[in-house]
Amino acid sequence: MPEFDFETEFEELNLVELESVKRLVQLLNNTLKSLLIYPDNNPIPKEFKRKLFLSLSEFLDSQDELKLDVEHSRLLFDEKVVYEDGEKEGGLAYVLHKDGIRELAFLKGLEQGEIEDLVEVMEATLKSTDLEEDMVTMLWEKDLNHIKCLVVDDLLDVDVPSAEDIPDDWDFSRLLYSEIVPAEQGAELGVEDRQDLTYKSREEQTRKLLKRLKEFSPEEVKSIQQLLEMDNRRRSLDGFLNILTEIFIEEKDFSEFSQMMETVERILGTLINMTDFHSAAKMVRGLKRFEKMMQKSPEHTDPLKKNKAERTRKVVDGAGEEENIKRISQILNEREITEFSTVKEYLFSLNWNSISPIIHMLGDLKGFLARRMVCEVLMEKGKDHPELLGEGTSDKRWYVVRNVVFVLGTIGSERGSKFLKQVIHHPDLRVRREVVTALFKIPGSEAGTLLISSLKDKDKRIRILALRGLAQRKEKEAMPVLMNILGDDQFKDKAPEEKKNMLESFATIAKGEAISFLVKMVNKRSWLKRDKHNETRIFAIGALSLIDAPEAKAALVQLSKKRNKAIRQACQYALQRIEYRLTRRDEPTKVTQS
Amino acid sequence: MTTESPTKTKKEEVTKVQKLYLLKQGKSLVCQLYVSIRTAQIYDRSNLVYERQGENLFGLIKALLEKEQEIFVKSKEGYLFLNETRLKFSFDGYVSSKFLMETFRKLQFESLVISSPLTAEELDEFVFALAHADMECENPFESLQKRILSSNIQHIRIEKFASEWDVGDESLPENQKKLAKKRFFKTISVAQEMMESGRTGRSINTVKSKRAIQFLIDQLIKNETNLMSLTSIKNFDEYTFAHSVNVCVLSVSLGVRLGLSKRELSELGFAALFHDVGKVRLPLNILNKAGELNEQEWEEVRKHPVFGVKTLLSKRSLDRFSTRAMVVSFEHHLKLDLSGYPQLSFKKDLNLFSRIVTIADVYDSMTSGRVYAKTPLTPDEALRRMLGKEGKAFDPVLLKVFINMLGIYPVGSVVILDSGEVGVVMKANPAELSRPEMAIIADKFGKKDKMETVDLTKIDDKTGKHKRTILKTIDPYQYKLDIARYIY
Repeated sequence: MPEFDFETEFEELNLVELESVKRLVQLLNNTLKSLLIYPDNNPIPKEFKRKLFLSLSEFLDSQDELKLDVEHSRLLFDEKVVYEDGEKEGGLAYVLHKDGIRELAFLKGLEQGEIEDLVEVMEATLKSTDLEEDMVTMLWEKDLNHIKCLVVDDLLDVDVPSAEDIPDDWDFSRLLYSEIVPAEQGAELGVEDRQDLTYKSREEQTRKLLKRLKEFSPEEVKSIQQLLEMDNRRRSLDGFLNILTEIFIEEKDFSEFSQMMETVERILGTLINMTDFHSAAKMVRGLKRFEKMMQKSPEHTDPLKKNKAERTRKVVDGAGEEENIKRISQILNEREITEFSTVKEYLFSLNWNSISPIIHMLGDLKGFLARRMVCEVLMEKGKDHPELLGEGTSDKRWYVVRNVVFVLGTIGSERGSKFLKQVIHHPDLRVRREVVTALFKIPGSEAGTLLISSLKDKDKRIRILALRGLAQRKEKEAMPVLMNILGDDQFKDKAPEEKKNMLESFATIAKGEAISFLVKMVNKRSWLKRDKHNETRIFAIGALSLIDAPEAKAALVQLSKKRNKAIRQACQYALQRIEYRLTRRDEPTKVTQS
Repeated sequence: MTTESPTKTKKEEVTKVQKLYLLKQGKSLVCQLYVSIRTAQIYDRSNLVYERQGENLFGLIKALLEKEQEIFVKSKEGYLFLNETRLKFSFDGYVSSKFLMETFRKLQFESLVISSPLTAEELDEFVFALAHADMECENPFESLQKRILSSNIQHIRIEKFASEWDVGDESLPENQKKLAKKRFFKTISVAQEMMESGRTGRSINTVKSKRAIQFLIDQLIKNETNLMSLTSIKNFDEYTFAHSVNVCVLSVSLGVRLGLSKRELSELGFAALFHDVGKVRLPLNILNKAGELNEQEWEEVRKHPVFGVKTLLSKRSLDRFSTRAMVVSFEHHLKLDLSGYPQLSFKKDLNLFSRIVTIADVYDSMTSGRVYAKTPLTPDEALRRMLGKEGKAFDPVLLKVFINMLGIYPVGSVVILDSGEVGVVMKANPAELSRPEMAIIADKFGKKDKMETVDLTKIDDKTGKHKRTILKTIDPYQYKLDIARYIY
């Protein structure tokens, strides 16, 4: 039987262990890479994190701890290299080393949440450009029980004064006596008496104080809890903004004030870079409130207040300028942000001068959801400034124009019509379609005229949409134009859906006035293109059924006696539609009565 | 994979519930253990008062043992754990947890392990063994171990410190003291550096100060006495910076009592360290003036909270640390009723951190006497005066927690005992505020002798009364006594 070789066996075991550590470190590295590549909510990094936790837990079940030494560009386990960064800086080892971490240890009992925290901190460090946010601080704040770091402690490099250097020349021998014995009694007492002295009154005082301090009443406990809860809820920025306002109000020196405003501008920029749009919005709102306060003040003639208001406005206006808004688009594109509520909040907070730059965002943003958010912002901000929105209609990019037209339509201001007029003949069909849809919602004669002009659009779909719009608006101005088209000999040659929509729109707009015209159309005979002619007649019957008047019903009854079977059937169907409509109209009343 | 995930989630859910249960029960267990030990120190086993507490403790442990096969209470790095779950204490449970950790430390054990089937008799035996353990003997652990064995306590055992992260040079009391001193002084120099940056208008890099504060917090969590005692030394050359560090230490200690997280403590420490940063903009002739300030000079001084905000605003970036610090800098002289300075246009509630820093700042200023040439007060006198202003200048409940933290005779107080001896308070006793640990520096005749550390809770076996009781505090400056000599 061969002798058992402990040394070889031990070495082999070590090799196995080393290999599994290498795999673990690689998995940690891959997890980080996946976080840098994919957005936060992607399942791939999540799966990596889960695997990393399971593998580490498995390792720690048998080994109790995993301790990695950190060097500038490599990680070591048991003095053997288990990981090396590539050539460029920013690898796993470098990131740990640069902030002073020299040892990273995972201990038994590791929890999934702790791995999540570690990875989150490492990811933040890799992504951060802020020199003041270091990994050691972030990890320390996470307070992880099973992940420990050994950090370079340069704090110990300091001279500490020595106790021996302190003079020792105090003297109690005389003064001690006067401390414990009232002066008038002092002379009568000897040294031996000192130990018997008691201070009853002092004792009583202390006892009372102790009683008061020792226990906390339920109200006191509650008050502390409330204080802590309030502090948890309140974001530190709120307090900061409040005190800024106080300082702004009190500042007597305008150049100091102006300097502070420069800082505020810088802070706003930082907040945007950090994608903390919520705080940025709060800041802008605070500035606007302050500006208003300065303007509203009864001493508005005070030049300092006036200057302060102007300077503040300059900051808010500056935030809405092209360059700053462009930066937001860049950030949204680069960082693949998917949650836009705070961005929206920030854009809302800006002054109206930001409208044009925000319109340009529509052209710069890559994501559909982001552009939709911008449209929502413009709908709100552009309400009182459709002229500013209108400028967007001259953009060269068709999709920007379409979005602006959509916004103008949603706002529904009559002042938007003139801009829609500029693009009603836009070369892109999608824009023209949006223009016609927008015109549905815009009141005023100009919008109606524009819709009528769209009846001449080269695309049938636009013409049909315009017809529906005219019908919806019950645009009387369209009647002569429609009658003109309907009366034309070539009308019957139009596509069936266009003919149908034209006749129905005519009936909806003209109502009773259309009856005789439509009856005439049904009665009209033609020997040429009979099918096309009959088709037109049937659509005219359908249009008659839309008119809510007894004359229309009577006309249909009359027409239903025609010899032409198709016409008869169309009339019967039209009468049924009227009946059905009447029944439906009566229904709610019946229900109420019963 | 599809079958694995739900099971995993369920398992995770169970662990979460279990952890919450341990957190809740752990807190009750620690508090009840504290009450039982304290009761056992005063009453006999047969006394009804103890019996009730003993029963409560047994009930708690029994319930825990029904869910867990074995329970262990562990003291590690300044925290208590129940079966690997770290227990969190706010100010109401703080005394119990500190008492227990201190008992563990003095008796040199890390864990207390309890298993089934524990009997009520065994538990009572153990509680009494703990309550009357000789902590001053040469080997307290061995002594307690012997008592456990001789009392036939089979289901409770104690385990000596074993964790690698706790042992080593750092854990030795002397080295811990040295380390605390180094960190304290380094923080002073960091504060000085940062404030110089503020004075010269250079951008303030805060990484160094954040790190320094982290070390202070770690130290305070593990052993607050070493750092707290350093705050009582007031005669440093660079008192302005030492004051900032003192306020930082005192504020963070109060934050620890309130159960703030490390993240919050770190922000609080930063804000406290920079609460006076605005003073860098004050003219040096005012800052260094030896005598009382005149009204015009005071007016200048009253600007420093606003100057503080402006200085911090010039920092490179705006983060949660600097926003917190700005708020504290602005509010730390406002007073709770807003009667202080700067004057406000709008009414507001003082921020929690400002309330804490205000207390720490006033206490340190009152006891130093270095600020604007005022006479220093003894620590207990300062606390008494502050108590007179509770509700107006200070948050009354926070002030109460602060005094509970310092004791009514804070570290550094020089006192006369009823034995006629003179002593310096070295360590607060949260369980008995008027009976701190102290160093006797003079005998009843006022003679200097070898320094001896005494525990004022000790009872004289003959009389059944306390061996020593504090009579009154005295002013060390009057006697040219530099307490730094003893605190070091």
